[in-house]
Amino acid sequence: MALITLQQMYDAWKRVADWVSGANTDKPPVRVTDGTDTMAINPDGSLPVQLTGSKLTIASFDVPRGGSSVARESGGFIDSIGAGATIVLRDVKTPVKIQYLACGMSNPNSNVRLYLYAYNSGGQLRYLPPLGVQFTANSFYNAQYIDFDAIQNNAYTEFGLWKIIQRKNSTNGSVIIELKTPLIFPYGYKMELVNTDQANSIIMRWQQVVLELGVA
Amino acid sequence: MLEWLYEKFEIVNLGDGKQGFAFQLEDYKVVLPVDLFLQYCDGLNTPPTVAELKSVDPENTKGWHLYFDAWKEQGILN
Repeated sequence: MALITLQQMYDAWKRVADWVSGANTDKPPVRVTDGTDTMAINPDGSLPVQLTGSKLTIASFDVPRGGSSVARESGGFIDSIGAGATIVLRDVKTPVKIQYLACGMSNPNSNVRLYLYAYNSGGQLRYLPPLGVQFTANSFYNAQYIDFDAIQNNAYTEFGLWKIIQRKNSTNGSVIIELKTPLIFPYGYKMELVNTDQANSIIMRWQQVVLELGVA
Repeated sequence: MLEWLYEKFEIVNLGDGKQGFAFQLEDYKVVLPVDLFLQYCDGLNTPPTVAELKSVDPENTKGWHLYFDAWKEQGILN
């Protein structure tokens, strides 16, 4: 009977893990695509793999499917934000896929920022990118928020996760943006609107519409 | 005043070691920084009244009057 050492077990596991995670560049990494039943990749892109003794465990968790999950549309109006105030627009701690998210703001102001966070497996908020999104150097992830006043007049300009679909003139300026790709948050997400000016309120009209799949 | 905040509101972490306190306003949760509110309330009695809070910023520059009214409706303030 052939004997297999623990080191050989580890080496074998490591080759598979590197392949699946994309760390090994001689094979294409495994990609989880929309419509799968489960995924085994953490929000930070790493594999939830544990080797305990001779037992290898790959954790997985359910991912919402469009056909069997619950769709929820949420939206609303906000007419002002107090000085230094944060308004929690959504706070979901279950697996969710955001199929569509559109938000608009009148009177774009550099003190108003829109933050989008992902929860990790420990229930903590983090800025790491949600799954299904390619990030660039100037992405939403690195910026961590949208500064509405920084959005230029260019229609259809992409800004990280977001795509500007309309911008009116600066006099009665309003911005409408939407996601350029669906996002999957295995542990939930949080979206906040923040007034960073601690002395003055901001009067504006805010509207949002979010279509979520998989919220129980 | 700080103890009153802890007693009446949900305290949340704002990052960078800062705390906020949360309350409901219609369909949304609103969070204000604790240190900013304590600075605003400097010299006021504990607990403050709505009138006292509004008198600090009579022109409502900060836009907080709406929040104070909500606290009164929710029984947090008199």
